[in-house]
This record gives sequence, C-alpha cells and structure tokens, in this order.
Amino acid sequence: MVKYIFKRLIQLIPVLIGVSIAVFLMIYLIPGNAAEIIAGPTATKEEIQNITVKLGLDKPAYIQYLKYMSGVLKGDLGYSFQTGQAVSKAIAVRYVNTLSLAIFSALISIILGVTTGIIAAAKRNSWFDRLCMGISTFGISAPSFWIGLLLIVVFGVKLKLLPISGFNGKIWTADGFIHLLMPAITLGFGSSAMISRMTRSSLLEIIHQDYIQTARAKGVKEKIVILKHALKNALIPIITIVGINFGGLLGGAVVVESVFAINGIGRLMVQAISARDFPMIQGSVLMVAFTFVIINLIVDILYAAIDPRIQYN
Amino acid sequence: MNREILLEVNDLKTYFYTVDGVVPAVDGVSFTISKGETLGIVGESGSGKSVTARSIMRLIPNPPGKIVSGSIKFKDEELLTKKDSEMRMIRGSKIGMIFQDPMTSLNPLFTVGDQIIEALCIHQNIDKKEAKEKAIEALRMVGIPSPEKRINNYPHQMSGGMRQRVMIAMALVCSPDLLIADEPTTALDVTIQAQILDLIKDMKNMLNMSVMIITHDLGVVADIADSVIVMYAGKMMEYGRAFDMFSNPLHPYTKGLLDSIPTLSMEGDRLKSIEGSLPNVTLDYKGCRFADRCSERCEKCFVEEPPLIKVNDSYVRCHKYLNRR
Ligand SMILES: Nc1ncnc2c1ncn2[C@@H]1O[C@H](COP(=O)(O)OP(=O)(O)OP(=O)(O)O)[C@@H](O)[C@H]1O
Ligand SMILES: [Mg+2]
Repeated sequence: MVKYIFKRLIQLIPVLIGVSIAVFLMIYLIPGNAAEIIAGPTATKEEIQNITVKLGLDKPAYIQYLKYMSGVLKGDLGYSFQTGQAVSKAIAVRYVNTLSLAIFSALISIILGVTTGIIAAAKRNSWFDRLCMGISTFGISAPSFWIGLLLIVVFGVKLKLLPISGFNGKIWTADGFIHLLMPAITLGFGSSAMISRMTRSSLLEIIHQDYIQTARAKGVKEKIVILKHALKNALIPIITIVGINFGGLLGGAVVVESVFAINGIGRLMVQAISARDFPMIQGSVLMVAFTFVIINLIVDILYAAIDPRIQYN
Repeated sequence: MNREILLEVNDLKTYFYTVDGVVPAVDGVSFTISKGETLGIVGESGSGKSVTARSIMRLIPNPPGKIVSGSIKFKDEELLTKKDSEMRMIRGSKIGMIFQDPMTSLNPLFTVGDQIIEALCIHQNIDKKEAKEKAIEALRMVGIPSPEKRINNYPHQMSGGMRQRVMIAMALVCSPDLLIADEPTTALDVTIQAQILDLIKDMKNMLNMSVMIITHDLGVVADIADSVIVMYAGKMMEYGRAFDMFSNPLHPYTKGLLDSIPTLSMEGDRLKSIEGSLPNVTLDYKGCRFADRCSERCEKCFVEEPPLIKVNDSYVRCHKYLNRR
C-alpha cells in the first residue's frame, strides 16, 4: 500500500508540471498586455517598457515560466497587479473559505446521498424509494443559485432560523458552522442527489451477485449483507462520483459564494479575471487545479484501499 | 433406506410472479434425504433444480418468487413456518451450501479467512483468535496447502479449484448436517472436477453428513449419489435409487438422458440427443410437460398430467406405467 501511494505520488509530478505550464500559458490567451494594464491608460511608452523589463516580460516564455515556477515552489505566487498584495496571502484566506464550503457540502452530500441510497435500494419500490428518487431528479436538475435563494427566503427571511451571510472564515467555530450550513446544503444538494442515485443503482446491481447469495447462505443478517458485503463493493462507483462531484463543488462554489456573500476563491477569480489581474488569476487557477489533482490522488488511494485487486494490475 | 430421515420435502411449490405471468418453477416436488445419504438432482437448464435448493434454504427472492405451498421438514422441524431469524441460525450452521461458480461466489473484497471466520462467528460463540485457528483447520481439511498463509489471500489470488475448496471449507466449517451443492463442478476443469467431487465424498464421510448435489452431469450422479431425482420443467419425472435408475431407467426422459451420455463403444456414431426444449409452463398447463419431446407419447399425454406412479422401489411420472400398478 505504501509502495502504491509512493508510486502514485511520483506519477503526479508530470501531471503537476503539465498543469502549471497550462496555467502559465493561459495568460497568452487572454487579450491585453500585462505591462500596459499595470501602467494604466495614461502611461507613456517608456513607462510601459520599464515595467516590461521589471516584470521580465521581455524574456523568452520558458525563462518566465522557470522564474515563475521557482517562485511557486517557494510559495511565492507573485503580486497582485490590482492591489500589490502578495497573491499567496490573498489566496490563502479565500482558499480556506472555499475549501471549508466544499468539504462541508461534500460531507453533507455523502451522508445524505449514501444513507438515502442505501434505504432506497433496501426498500426498493417503497414510498421512500419513490420519494427519494423524485427528490433526486429535482435535485440534479435544479440550479444551485435557485435552491440557495429558496433557502434564503424560507430559512433566512421567513423563519429567521439561519443567517444569510457573514461567514467568519472559521468553519470549526459554532458561528462559522451555522453561517456555512445553508451554503453547504445549497451546494451539496445536487451532489447528494447524484450520490443517492449512484448508491441505489450500484447496490441493486451488486445485490444480484453470487457472493451476496453466499453471504446469505452463511446466515449473515440482511442488514450486514447490505452494509458490509454489498456496500463495500458498491463503494467504488460511489467514490468515483464523490470525487467528480467534489470538483463540481469547487466550480459550483463560485455561484454559491456570490449568493451567500462568502469571501471565497471563486469570487476572487471572477474579480481577478475582470480586472485582468494575471498573477491573481494564475495563482488561484493553479490552486484549484492543484486541489483537483489531490482529490484524484485521494480517490485513487481509496480505490486501492477498498479493492485489493487494484494494486496488482 | 431405513435410516433416520434428515430432510423431508413434501409437495413443494415455488412460483415466480413475473410480468409475463406465473412461472411454476418448482411444482409439487417431494423427496426425503436420510442421514448420510447423497441425493442427486439432475435435469436440464431451467428445470427448477436451483429453485428447489434455494427453497430449502428459504433464499427465494421475494418478489418475484414465493413458496406457495408444501412442507420442508428438517430434523422434524418445519422450515417454511420459521421466522427469518430462526432460519438464519440454520443457514450456514445446520445446512451449508456451495454454488456453481467459485469465481463469483466469494466476495472479492474480503480475504478468504475473513469470509470463513464470519461464518464461524455468526454461529459459534468463539473469539476471533479461536475462529482463525478453526478457519485454518478448515482450509487444511479441504486440502489447501499452507493454510496459515492462504487464509490472508483474497479470492483473486487463488485458482478456481482452490476457491471452490474455500467455498466447501466455508460451508462445512460449522459441521452442518446437510450440504447442498448446486452444480459444484460445472465451472471447473475436468481434472479439478474429479478432485472436488472426491473432496465432497471425503467430507461427507468424515463429517457424517447428508449431501444434496445438483448437476447436469449423470457421471457425477453415478459417481456420488445414492438416490436420484430427475426434474423436468418444475416436475419430478423420476425418483429412485441411483443404481436402479442407471440399470433400469423408467421415464422416457431419463432414458433419453442416459442415451445422450457419450460412450467409447459408439465411436463414429452421432451423439443422441433429445430434440426440442423445455416448454413454457403456465399454471393452467395441461398434460405431461415432456409430451412434446417424448418418443413414447400417446394422446392422453397431451390432455392429462400423469401422477407419480410407484414402480418397484422407484417413482415415475408417466402414463405408460399406469395400468401396471
Ligand atoms: N428470480 C427469478 N425470477 C423469475 N423467474 C425465475 C427466477 N429464478 C428462477 N426462475 C425461473 O425458475 C426456473 C427454474 O430455474 P432454476 O434456476 O431452478 O433452473 P436450474 O434447473 O437450476 O437450471 P440451471 O441448470 O441452468 O441452473 C427458470 O426457468 C426461471 O424461469
Ligand atoms: Mg441452477
């Protein structure tokens, strides 16, 4: 297992290099010249030229890339064109907010999705099953901003149960938790619907496998048959969906952060893009891409931890 | 066969309620298994052999299946009226079961040791360590080399024959009174088949248990069974001692089955086979289910279902024997 994880980590290196090159090249796709943007509309040619040299923009692209990457490895993502603030600092706070939101909503969607999926599969065609599948169809198709607004109106404005904005950035405090509850539900709803469906369908498929019959023939309780023998086998597709959805949660966070006024990386990116704040765009995209890669790694390790056949091929 | 009766199945009917109508998969099957007896059930695919076995274990998926009537007495206790929890105490402990395909019958995500230990821990009040020792012992008993290492293997690290040995070890680890083997050799290589059959025979003698073995293969029956049931489309066509059936088959279907066994002396001749296939049986089916394919049929066979007729020590479901009673 340790060997497998190590192998996977080694394999990550080329992926990360590829990602960083893609992120770096992204700048060349965006119209506008960085030096002109920094210098402002009234700048003279000389001023622009000075800035170009100062930023090293006159050097060949690969030199610029190497310079950028040597900074990245030291934790230096450059400085914002807009504010002059260190990008790494600006991102750190926002990233924690977004990650809190994404992890929280992932937890909600896993707990909700897996339990409803199990019950729906165990009591197939019951009213619970139909209700769950109905709600999940709705959950998959309803846009998250709409669900967010609905929750705000009901729980925030009408019932006054939950705060509608003002997340303090500390999910681990009671106040932070309460502030993040509604955004996390909003964000996780669609995902939990998908997880619920996937859990149900893969359980229903696995329940017809021969080894389930074997377990029953041994005298194993039906509850254990499902929760141990069937669920463990169903976990592979479930984890795949959870992993994919987590990426979706990061992306979806942009919308939900706007609805609930959370200071997250999604909003930061939107602001940075509209201001052509290149270092900020690069830094935040790199961070999000890095997160994706790590999620993939975790998913792969979980596969191997669950299924002994995976390490061998 | 004057020995003590272990299992008595009486007029068992197991139906499946599908969208296409009711399928009487097992339709009035009766037989007994004495202590130490080996009963073989033969019949072509779809004749209801597995459903019979699963009915005894009360493992018929409901819906769509249901045991509609009959009685299954095991050690003088009626199984059909037992609660689920009571049935679970019998499964794996008093009645063990093994299946056709050892490649898919073991859970791929647990070690074989864990799977055997699970069976032990359900039925016996022992701790993990003791269970592990017993599991190793069981693996040794079914002929798995260095069982103390093999116990930590996952199924995919073993060959098909090995896995079937593991299945047998798992089914027998609680020393059941009855082993139900549903085509235990069908999926295996010929040489492995013989080994597994020998193993089942040895285990039977060692544990002094009864065996119900389901197979397509009359060679298996000849090798291992004391008595035989020939099933066809959910019905028992012939039931008697294996020796009697091989020396003097009664039912035209049984004769057909025996004729379709290849022998060395028929070199060059074409293999005989029974033309046609199983009928689509419905609840209001009239006449003998084999009539369509029978070489000795008469008009009566299409209108009236023959009863089970006693001929010598055997039973046969055929009009031919009616007047000879
Ligand atoms: N789950 C089910 N749903 C509907 N019908 C079923 C189901 N299981 C079995 N049957 C019906 O019962 C009949 C007998 O099936 P069974 O599995 O007992 O055959 P078998 O004699 O064991 O055949 P094989 O040699 O192929 O294993 C089948 O023809 C099928 O129509
Ligand atoms: Mg079968």
